[in-house]
Amino acid sequence: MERRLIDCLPLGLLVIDQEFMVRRWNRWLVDKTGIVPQLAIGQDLRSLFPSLRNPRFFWAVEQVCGMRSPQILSQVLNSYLIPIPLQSANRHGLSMMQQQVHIEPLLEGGEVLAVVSILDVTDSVIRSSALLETAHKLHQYSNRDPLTGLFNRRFMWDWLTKQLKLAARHAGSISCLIIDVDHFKRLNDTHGHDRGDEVLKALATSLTSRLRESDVVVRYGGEEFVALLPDCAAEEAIDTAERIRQEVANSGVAQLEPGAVTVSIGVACCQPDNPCTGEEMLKRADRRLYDAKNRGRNQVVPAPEGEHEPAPVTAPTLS
Amino acid sequence: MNLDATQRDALSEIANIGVSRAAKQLSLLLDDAIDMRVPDLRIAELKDVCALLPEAHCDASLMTVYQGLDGYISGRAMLMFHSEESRALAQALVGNVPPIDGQDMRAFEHEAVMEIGNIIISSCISVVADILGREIILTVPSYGEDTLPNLLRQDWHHGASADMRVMVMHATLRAAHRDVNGTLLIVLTLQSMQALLDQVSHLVATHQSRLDGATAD
Repeated sequence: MERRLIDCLPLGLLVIDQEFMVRRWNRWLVDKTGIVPQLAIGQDLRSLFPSLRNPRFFWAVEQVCGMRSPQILSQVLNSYLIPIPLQSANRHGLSMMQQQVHIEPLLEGGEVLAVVSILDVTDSVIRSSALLETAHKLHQYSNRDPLTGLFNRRFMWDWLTKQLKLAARHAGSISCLIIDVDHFKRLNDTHGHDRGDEVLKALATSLTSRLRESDVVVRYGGEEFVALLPDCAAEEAIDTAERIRQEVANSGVAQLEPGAVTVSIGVACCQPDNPCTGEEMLKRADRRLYDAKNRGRNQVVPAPEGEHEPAPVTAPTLS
Repeated sequence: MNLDATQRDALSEIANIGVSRAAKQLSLLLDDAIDMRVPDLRIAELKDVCALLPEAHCDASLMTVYQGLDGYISGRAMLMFHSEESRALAQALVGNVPPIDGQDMRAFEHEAVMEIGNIIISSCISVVADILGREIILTVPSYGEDTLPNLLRQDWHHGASADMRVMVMHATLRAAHRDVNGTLLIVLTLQSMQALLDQVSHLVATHQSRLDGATAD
């Protein structure tokens, strides 16, 4: 009866003594390992599976047989106990059956034996890794602007907070460019909204390719982009901004004639001698963008008078 | 029921042997240097336990692994982590924790926390059993997430009685260069706690008289 009963279980069940000698071996194990009870019983489990060298398992058996203290071996920390290759290949990168193992003491004839039950949790591991992948993707999407694929504001503030702390610790600088498409409304009215979208997408691609991998480009608003440049001092940021401005002005963005699309750029920098919060840096850059618009657009305004950053390189004087 | 200085020292030493054995097993399991200490140990009545916990732990939902105790002493051993701490624990121990926020994370953590709790509880209890030379039987570990008062009420086979006593230990686990703080509770019937303390006093006295004897020789 007892033997038939353990053969009915939809899980692996084996009984070993404290020397790892197998006493019971149910049908599930025969099916999964191909080892029949006649070959398993009386054998040392470690010789049946030479790859079984898990110190956690050895200690667990010691605890169960020595102290009658039940043990669990989770899939998260152990993956599996009995090596059982999976039949179908490439199941989310898993090649072995994933197992959750319970080991409990069983007092028999004055001897404490270890009852090892093995649950196949491969499917739930696959399911949860698929869910995690999806969650990861959703997390990514929630940080992205759907039109341009650039980061969105939400991501920007998280990132900026962390980077400013990092910069403060290493006495580094972070620069910020606010890039706004000149006369975007007119562009939309003249060429249609689809073309307007094309312009934004083309600018996004061009900005990303012009900047370093460590830089972050954000779609800040409708036709407004923010580029955040870590480890970049003011002079370098102004050069970068000027290069971007020239390139946009000289190239045919979204199949429009060169010069049809231009940008104005405000530059600000948080550096050790001029520290600021993310909000302050954005505000400063925004003020300079406003100046650039007032001064006739298609230009870079690095710093208004009175702030100790280098003088404008391309902006004409107000006079 | 209060601990005298000798009892407190002896119990602290037992607890520290227990957690250091657990730390050794965790280090092997996770292939990382893990250190564990019990810096503080007190005994309280069941109703007063909250007052001995870090302030935020009393009303908060705690992740708890618990195992019933039977044999020489009966009651329950519980290892509890504040959810912030258990996340830190999972991160420090398991490493590649996925970038998910809040509630979703818990399901992932609890499996790891359960096994870690099982290792810590069984190490500590087996040291107690070893030192007392008595048999203590542990039940299969369970996992619960609730406030402490609710956790203390849950799933008692014979019901928790008001006169139960609790040994409260703050446990600090150091992994991957950061500390994770948890609380280990051993909830015992009044009778069991008394037996445990008597046995500890007896051991200390025997040990002391041996030392005295050795000095006299």
